[in-house]
Amino acid sequence: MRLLVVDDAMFMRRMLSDILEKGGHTICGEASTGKEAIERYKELKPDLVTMDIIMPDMSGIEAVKEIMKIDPNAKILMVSAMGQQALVLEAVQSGALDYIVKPFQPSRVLESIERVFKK
Amino acid sequence: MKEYLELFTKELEEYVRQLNKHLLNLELDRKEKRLIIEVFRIFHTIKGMSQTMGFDSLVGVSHSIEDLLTDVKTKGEISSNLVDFLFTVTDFLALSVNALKNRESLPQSAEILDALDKIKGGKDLRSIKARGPLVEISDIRVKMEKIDVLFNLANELMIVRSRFAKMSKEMDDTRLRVLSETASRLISSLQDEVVRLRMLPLSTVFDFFPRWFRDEAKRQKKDVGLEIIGGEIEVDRSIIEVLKEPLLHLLRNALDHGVEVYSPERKEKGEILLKAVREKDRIRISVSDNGKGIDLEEVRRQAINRKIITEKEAQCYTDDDFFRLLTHPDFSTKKGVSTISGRGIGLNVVNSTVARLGGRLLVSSKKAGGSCFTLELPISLAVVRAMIFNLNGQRFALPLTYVRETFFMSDEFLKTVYHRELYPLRGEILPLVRLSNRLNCVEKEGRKSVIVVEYDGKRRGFITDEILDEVDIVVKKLHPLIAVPMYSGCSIYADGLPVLIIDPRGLND
Repeated sequence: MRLLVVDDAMFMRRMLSDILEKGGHTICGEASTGKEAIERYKELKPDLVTMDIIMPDMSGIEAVKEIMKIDPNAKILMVSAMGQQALVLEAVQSGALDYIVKPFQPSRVLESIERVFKK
Repeated sequence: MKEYLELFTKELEEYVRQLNKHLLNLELDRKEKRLIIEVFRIFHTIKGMSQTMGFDSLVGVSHSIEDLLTDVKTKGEISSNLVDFLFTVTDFLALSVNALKNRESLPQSAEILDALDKIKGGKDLRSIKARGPLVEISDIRVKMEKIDVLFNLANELMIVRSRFAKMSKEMDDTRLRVLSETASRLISSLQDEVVRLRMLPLSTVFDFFPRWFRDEAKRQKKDVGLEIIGGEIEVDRSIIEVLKEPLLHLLRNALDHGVEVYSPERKEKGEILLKAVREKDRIRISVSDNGKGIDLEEVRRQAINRKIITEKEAQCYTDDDFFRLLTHPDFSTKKGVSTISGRGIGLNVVNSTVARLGGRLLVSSKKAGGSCFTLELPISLAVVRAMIFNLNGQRFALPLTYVRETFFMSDEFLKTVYHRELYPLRGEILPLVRLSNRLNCVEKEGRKSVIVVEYDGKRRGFITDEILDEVDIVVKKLHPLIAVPMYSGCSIYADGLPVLIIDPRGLND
């Protein structure tokens, strides 16, 4: 599976990428802002996107909306910190399929990915 | 995990830098929504990162701040007390960065969390101006060593370039000449680009000052503004690295000496301006204030009192000469020693640091117009314009920054006083330096060329056999085992032979 990892912190991207790669996935790209995520999505057509919510330029939620416009079948997994339930809900209503909460547990992350692919 | 920790620390450090910058701007305009959101985002990101690393104290603090800022976001205005507090929190984050770097345990967050409850009411804070385009950190991170390797290769190519050019000139073949010219141009551009890779915007150092200045001015209870201009100008990393200390000295001096002279009847607010301007391949960074300027009479008195000059000498001194005295190691006009400056070593240190970089310190002052200290520096240390001269068939290079003029010497005017050779030059006496003695070589017979060199406020005539050329040379460091003070490095001349670069300050007078 080819995955696009979106997060404004390089540290989080590295962490998440490592977990995903160990789980047998390929990271085809990374993005650090909402706008960049959309650009990279168009360019790379990944099988799945992990999307942080709070980022500079454009929030993860707006990015989800834009990506869904480009590709209604896009598979997006929200990545949130605790205390963002309302935002996660909005993201899911906008088309995201599931969410994971920081701090990550590798098994939980990989499970969620499996679930999203089955949907 | 170690690798994550490094990444985490690096990123946290970058956020501390950004927070300081944003908070300073917020202090100026507490309704700047974009900045409030940005500060909120940074704390949010720090929270997420810290959760992942299991750093509970950082999670706790950033989570509370996030809560606090959620309200502020809706209100659209941040109180000055809160900005002040966020500075403290940023300091706490900076302490955490240091702790992580030194592999120590993280600082206690209890105090911060306590203070969080107490943020209510209070008086207004003084504001500090920090202006100039914000320069974003570049997109990719490349290890410095990699750039240095590239840089060395480009330098080697520069040497090949000049040898190639020389050879094609000798062989006098049109096709070869065209090829050599093309190669020359390309190699020069390559060298320029690689030199630029090593450059960083001045804001890398400048960004530190507003925060430091704010705290320092507050501590001294002085209402002084600091304005910064030119942070976007790029300079070689090696210069950036040593620039912080000299500039701190100058800003301290301005705050301590320049600003103390504001009399209450002068309604004007104290202003200090840190300004960088680029002029061709040099930059001028000046620190100026709107105080009453340097008291030359006081400088004269002190210099005589401290026996730096005699009364008689003082009579022939121009204003510029007096200004130059300020950089003398034994000098300081401040009578008392404050905790931050006035120890009389500042300007001297600034002067020698700048000279080491191939630059100079200029001092100027107007009565009632404030004083101005300017550092004039090269943009890059890699390529230096130098004069090449010959001494008994051996060639040496002398950076042009030291050279004032050259002339042919006529032996008949030469005078020797106490083993010291002197030469009259336009009514002034120029002490000469026999380079052949210092460099252990034999002079050729015949007409001599003298290079007038100025360094550390002194003028000397260096006696050489012949001046050959004026070229851009690529400076290489000497191996520590053979490094001696009189050489600042070496280079390869166009014919492929090495030349040593002379450092006049290393020649014993």
